Amino acid sequence: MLRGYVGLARIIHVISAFWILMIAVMIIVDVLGRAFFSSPLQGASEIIRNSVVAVTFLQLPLAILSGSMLRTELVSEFLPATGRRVLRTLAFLLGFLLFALIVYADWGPAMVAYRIGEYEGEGALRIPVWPVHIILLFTSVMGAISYLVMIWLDWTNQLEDEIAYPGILAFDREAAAVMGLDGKDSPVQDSEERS
Amino acid sequence: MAVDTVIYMVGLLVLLVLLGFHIAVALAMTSVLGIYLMMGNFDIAVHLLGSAAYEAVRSQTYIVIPLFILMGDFVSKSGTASDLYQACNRVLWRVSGRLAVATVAGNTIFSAVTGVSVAAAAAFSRIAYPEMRRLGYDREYAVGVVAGSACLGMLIPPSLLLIVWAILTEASVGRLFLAGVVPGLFLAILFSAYCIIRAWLKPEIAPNPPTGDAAQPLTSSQILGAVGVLALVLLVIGGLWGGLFTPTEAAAFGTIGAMILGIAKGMRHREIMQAIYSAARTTGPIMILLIAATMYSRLLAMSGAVNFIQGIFLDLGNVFLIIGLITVIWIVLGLLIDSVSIILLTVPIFVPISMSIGLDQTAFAIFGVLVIEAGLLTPPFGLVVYAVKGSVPDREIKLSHIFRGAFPFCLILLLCAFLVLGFPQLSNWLPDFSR
Repeated sequence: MLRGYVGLARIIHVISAFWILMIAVMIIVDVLGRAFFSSPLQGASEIIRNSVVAVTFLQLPLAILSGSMLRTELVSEFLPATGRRVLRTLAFLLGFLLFALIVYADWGPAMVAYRIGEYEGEGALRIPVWPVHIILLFTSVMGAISYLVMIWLDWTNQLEDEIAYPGILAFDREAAAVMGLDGKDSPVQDSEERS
Repeated sequence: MAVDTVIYMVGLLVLLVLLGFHIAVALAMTSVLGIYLMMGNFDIAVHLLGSAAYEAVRSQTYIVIPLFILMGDFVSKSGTASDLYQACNRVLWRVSGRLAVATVAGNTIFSAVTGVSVAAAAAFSRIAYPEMRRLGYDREYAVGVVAGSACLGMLIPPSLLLIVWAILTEASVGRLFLAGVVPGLFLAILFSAYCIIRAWLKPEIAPNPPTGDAAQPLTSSQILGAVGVLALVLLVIGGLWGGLFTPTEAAAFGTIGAMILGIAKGMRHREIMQAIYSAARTTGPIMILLIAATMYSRLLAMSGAVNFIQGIFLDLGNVFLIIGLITVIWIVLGLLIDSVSIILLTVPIFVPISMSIGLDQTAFAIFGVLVIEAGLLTPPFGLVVYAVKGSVPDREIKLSHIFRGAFPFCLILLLCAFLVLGFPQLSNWLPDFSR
């Protein structure tokens, strides 16, 4: 169950990563089209604008689960284990609240956008905006759940690295993983198997 | 009343951040609470949160962040950092402290294709440090060079910090990028000078290699890597400078160019996936910070707190005192949190202050990035230092070695920062020249 959930977070994360690559290709096609064939890609800028939002939110559930969210651990290092855990739980609860509020706040605009078929762009190419709202709502729900999952993992001693997690050491691992020299199985392979 | 609320909220924010709450979450939630207390209306606060989530990053400019991060990860994964290092090493064959200078030179070029210091720090810890130790270089000297020169990454475009700064102040990303080039090269020269002088004064910390040691010819793959990175630099910075590309377009060409270079260097499915995956993990947390920062700047704007804080600063009267206070605040924050968060928290307040005391805005941006970078080298948070510690293949290295070794670089960064502020031409020359 939990594995499936993390797997889903990984899948949407990888989708978002490929989406960024697609945008790069699209921009290049647009530039070359304008330069050599005087024909820009229709609606490219509308697609890019909306993609940024979608891409960002698709990355968030895994960022939360993998401890990539930026934080400092200056004070918590000096606390006893229980103190750290209580602090982390409070921090996760606030994170849950934030994403719950985002869902609550965007629900209305999303429903309106869907009902009236709100779109962006003009002429032949109209980009509907409701899919972006749907992605935002869906990933925010996942974001909220992810924070609850983190609390559960914490109190059942399942966080990978209790003291530093999710903090500076996560950066180190990331830096090491960037170089592919960490010697561990990279999370990439997991996501490949799942997706 | 409104100002009081904001001051309490900023206090609460600092407390939550110190207690280890996720910075983006703390930023967004204290802003929501602040707006609610000020307006007395929960719906307005929540509505603003919803619109920030949907609208804040919904602009073509923001796509440069994921693109440049992805480009940097492709370059890092492709192993070209090592090629660059070997090539610089060959070129500089008779300089004192050659390997240290080659580290600075390699970093200078490498940072022109990556936007974050951490990637460079990790790469050169693996490549340059063992080489230096093999020739008997002093441990602190070697590790200090690696950590210090990684800071070039945040100044030489594409730089994540400059993108965020430009977005916050509605400045042109392209202009700030070009503004970072000359101070970046200047900083590289200062770093190299330090390495050479140290090695010349105390030859035992950087012994010269036995003759003939540097004479291994480069392999064709190494030449491909080094030339490929230089070509990417030309494509991205040259394209921006020549007005051929907007920053967004330069980022797209750079990303695909880096992927092609990586494939030519032997990256396959696994490595490409690693690069894409690790880029996405860096991007998401930064983007949500930007969304949260939008809420925060709305809170500041609605309450008039910026004017209030500006008043406190301007009451100091003396321009040097004001700049000094700003510098101290940045360095202290650098001890606590990461550089993007520092920029998001302070720039909305400090930039209006710098405007009203008549500082050149482009030079102030470069000054800010340099000071904040200096903070990255200081204990206890010093992100770059931790990245070096995590990647150096030497179990005996302690954090204190790195902090001590990097301290001179920290001072040079500050020196360079004040030079840029004193001589704004350093940062303005290239962008003005390109028009």
